[in-house]
Amino acid sequence: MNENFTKFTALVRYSIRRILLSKKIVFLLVGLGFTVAVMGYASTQDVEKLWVGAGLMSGLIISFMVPITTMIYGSTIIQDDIEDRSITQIISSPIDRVLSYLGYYLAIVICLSAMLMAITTAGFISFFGPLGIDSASLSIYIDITALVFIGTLVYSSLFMLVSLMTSKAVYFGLFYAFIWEGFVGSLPGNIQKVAISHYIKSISSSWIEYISLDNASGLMLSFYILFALIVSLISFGCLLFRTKEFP
Amino acid sequence: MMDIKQEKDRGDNVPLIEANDLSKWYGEVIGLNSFNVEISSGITGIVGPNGAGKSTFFKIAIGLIKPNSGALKVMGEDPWLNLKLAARVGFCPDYDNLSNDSTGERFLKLIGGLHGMSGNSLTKRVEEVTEIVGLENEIHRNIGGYSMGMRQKIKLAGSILPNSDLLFLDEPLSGTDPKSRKSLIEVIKSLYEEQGHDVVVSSHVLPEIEKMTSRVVLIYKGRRIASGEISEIRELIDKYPHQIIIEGSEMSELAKGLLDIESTISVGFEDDRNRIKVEVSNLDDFFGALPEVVVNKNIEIESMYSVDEGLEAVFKYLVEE
Amino acid sequence: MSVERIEYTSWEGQKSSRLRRIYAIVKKIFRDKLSSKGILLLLIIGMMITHVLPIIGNSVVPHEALTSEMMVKTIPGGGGYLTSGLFILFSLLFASVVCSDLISRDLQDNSFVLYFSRPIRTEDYLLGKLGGAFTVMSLFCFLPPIAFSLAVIATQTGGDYIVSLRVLGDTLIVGIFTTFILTSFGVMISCLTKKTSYAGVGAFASFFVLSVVGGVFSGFDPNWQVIDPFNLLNYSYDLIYGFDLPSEVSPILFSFALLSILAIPTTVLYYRVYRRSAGK
Repeated sequence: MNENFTKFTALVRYSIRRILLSKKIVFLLVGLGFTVAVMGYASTQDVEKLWVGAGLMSGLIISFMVPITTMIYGSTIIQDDIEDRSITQIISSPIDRVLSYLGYYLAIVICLSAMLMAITTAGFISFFGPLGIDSASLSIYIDITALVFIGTLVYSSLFMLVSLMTSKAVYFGLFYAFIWEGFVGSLPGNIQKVAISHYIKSISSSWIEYISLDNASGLMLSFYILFALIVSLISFGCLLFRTKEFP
Repeated sequence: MMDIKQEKDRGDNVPLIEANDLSKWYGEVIGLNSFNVEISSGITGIVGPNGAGKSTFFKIAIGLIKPNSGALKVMGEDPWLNLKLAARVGFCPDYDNLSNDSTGERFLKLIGGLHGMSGNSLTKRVEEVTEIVGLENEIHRNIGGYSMGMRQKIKLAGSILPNSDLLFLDEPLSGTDPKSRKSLIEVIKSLYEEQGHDVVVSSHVLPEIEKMTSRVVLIYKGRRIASGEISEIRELIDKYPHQIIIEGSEMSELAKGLLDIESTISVGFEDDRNRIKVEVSNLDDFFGALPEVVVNKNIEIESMYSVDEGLEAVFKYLVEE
Repeated sequence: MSVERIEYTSWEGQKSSRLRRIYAIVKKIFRDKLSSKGILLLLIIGMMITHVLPIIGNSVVPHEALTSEMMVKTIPGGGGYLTSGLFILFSLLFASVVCSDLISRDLQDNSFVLYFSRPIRTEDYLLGKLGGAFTVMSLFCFLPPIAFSLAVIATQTGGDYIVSLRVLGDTLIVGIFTTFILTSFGVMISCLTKKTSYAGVGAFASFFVLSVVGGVFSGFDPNWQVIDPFNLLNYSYDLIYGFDLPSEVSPILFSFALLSILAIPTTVLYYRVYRRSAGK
C-alpha cells in the first residue's frame, strides 16, 4: 500500500511539473489578462454590481475559460507523453495502469483548479474591488470558485478520455467546447440537456440568485448527473488506458 | 557495489525468455513473423538490420504492446499487464524518451519513484547507478545539455536503477562516438559480470555485439534465422566466397596477378573496365598476398571495398540457405 | 598539382518555372488534405449540416428568384443561409483543421532549410501555401454557396434571372472574401507556433475570445461589436448584398476592423516566414 502510494505520488508530481513547465501556460496567462481586462473595464461602467459581476464571472470563467483550459490540457496531457515517448517509463514501470491514469487525472485537476481559481480571484478583484467587496459579492465568489472546481472535474475527465480515443483530441475538444456546448447548450428546450454546461449552469442558477437559466434542471439532479458522468468517464478512461498499446 | 546475484529463483529448466510463434503486425507491416527463440541467462545479443523486428520483440517483452498471435514468456510469465514482472525488468529504449528540462537526477528519481523507491535509499541508489555508468558529475545538469553518449548512459542508469533481474537494452550504442561506445560496452559487460543482471542487448552491428557477448540471435524480417555462438554463425558465412570490388587503372593486369593468389576463386570485370570483382575463399590470405601483386605490377588502386562484409549480406546468405 | 581557383560570379538570370514551383506546393497541400480522413469527415459533416439542408430546403420551397434576403436575412433581425452562424462556425473549424499544420509543421521539422535551399522565394512559398489552403477551403466556403445559389436559381418560378444572377455575383464575392479571410488567418496562426495542435486551437480560440470580448463590451458600447469577427463577417456580407450596417455601428470603426482582418494576417505571415527563410 505504501509502495503504491509512493508510485502514485511520483507520477502525480511528475505530471504536475510537466503541466506547469509546458508552454501551454501562455494560454492561461492570456486568459488571466483577458479576464482581468474585461472585468476591469466592466467595473468602470455604471452597472448593477451583483448581477453584472455574477453574469460576467459565469459567462467568462465557467462557460468559457473552464472548458477551453481543460480542453487544452486534458486533451494533451497523455498525448504529449505518448508523442515524446516519455510514457514508456510509466508503462514499463510496476505501477498499475489504472493508478497511472488516476495520477494523470489528479495532476490535471490540481493544476487547473489552482490556475482557474487564480483567474477567478483576479477577475473578482478587478471587478468587485473598485465597486466594493461585501458579503454578497464574496458569496458569489465562493460559489463561482466551487463551480470552477466542478467544471474542472467533469471536463477534464471528458477530454482525457477523448485523448485516449484519438490523437486529434484537440479538434474534438474544439468542436465540443465551442460548437456543442456553445450552440446546443444554448438552444431552447430539452435539447440543451445533452450539454454538460446545462447542468453546471443549473447548479449556478440554484446557488447564485443573480444568475438565471430557463428550463434549469434541479440542483440534486444536476449533481447526480455530473457525478455519474465523472465516474463513468474516468472508469471508461481507466479501462481504455489499461488495454491500450504503446508501440 | 552489488554482489553478483546467485542462482535465479526461476528453476533450472525454465529459459529466461521463451517465444513461441510470436507474431505482431502493424496494419500491413509485419513486425514479428512466427518468431521462436529461447534465451538463457547471461548477455545475449539480438542482431538484425533496421526493421528486422528487434524493437518489436523488446516492446512485447516489456509489456508495451501485445502480440497478435503466439506467446512470449519472460522469466516464466506473460509480460502484458504484469506488474510483478515489470518490477524485475529494466528497459533502455532505442528512442529518446528524455525530457530536456529535467536533470539526470530528477529523471532517475522519477524512475525510482515509479518503482516504489523513496527517501534516502533512492538517493543512495541514484548515486550508485550514476557511478556505475560514469555520470556522477553530470546528474545535476539538465539532460538537454547532455551529449549523445551521456543520454544513452542516463537511460542505461534508469534501466538498472530498480535493481532489475533482467535488462533489455535496445540499440544502446546508436548515435554514440567511438569513445562513448567503448565505455558503454564496458559498462554493459560489467552489468552481468559484476552486477549480476541478465542482459538482452540489440544492435544492427555484429562487431559491436561481439565485444559484449559471444551469444547472439539473428533476426531478419521478423524471423529468427540463426542463434548460438558468434563463431558458429561466422563459419556459416565463410562457406560463401567473399566478394571484393577493386577500382583503378590497369585492372586487366591486376586481374592476371590476382588469379595467381591461392584464395582467389574468380575475377570478373564489371561494366566499367576500370573495375573488377574478385571472389575469394579466405580474406586474410587474400589481403596478405594482394600488396605484393599490386607493387610488382605497379598498379594504382583508387578504391577497394567488400560488398558482403555487412550484416545485410550475412542475412542474405542465411536467408537464402 | 596546383589548385585552380574557381572564379565565382553571381547569376543574374531569370528564375524559370516559377509557376510550376508554386503549383507543386499547391498540389501537394490539396492532395494531402483530401487524403486525410479527419478532414474529409469534417467536410462531409459540415456540408450536411451547413449547406445540404439549406440547399434542399430553399430549392424545394417555392420561390420567385434568388434574393439577397435568402442569403443573409431570412427574417427581420434573423440570419439567412450565410448568417445563421453555422456557416462561419464550421468554416472556422475547417480553417483551423486545414491550416494549422501548413507552416507549423515546416517550423517543427525545419523544412525551411529544404524549401529555401531550392530556388524558391519567400513570396512563392507563401503563394503556394496560401494557394493550397485556399483551394481546400474553397470546397467549403466558396463552392457550396455557389451551388446553393445555382440550385435556387434553377428551381425559381419567376422569370427575373437578372436579379438572381446579381445575387450569384455577390455570392461569388462573399465566397472569395470568406475563404481569403479564414485562410489567411488560419495560416497566420500556423506560422506563430511549431505545434500544430496549438495552431488549431489558437485559430479557433482567438476568434471566440474576440467574440466574447465584443459581446461583453458591446453591452456598454455597441461599437465594440466590430471586434467580434462573427459580426464583422456578417456585417460584411450584409454590405456586399446591398444592405446597410446597423445604425449603432460606426462605419469608420467597421472599416478599420475590416482592414485589420484583411491586412494583418498576411503581413504577419509574410514577416514571420521572411525572417525564417533569411535564417533568423
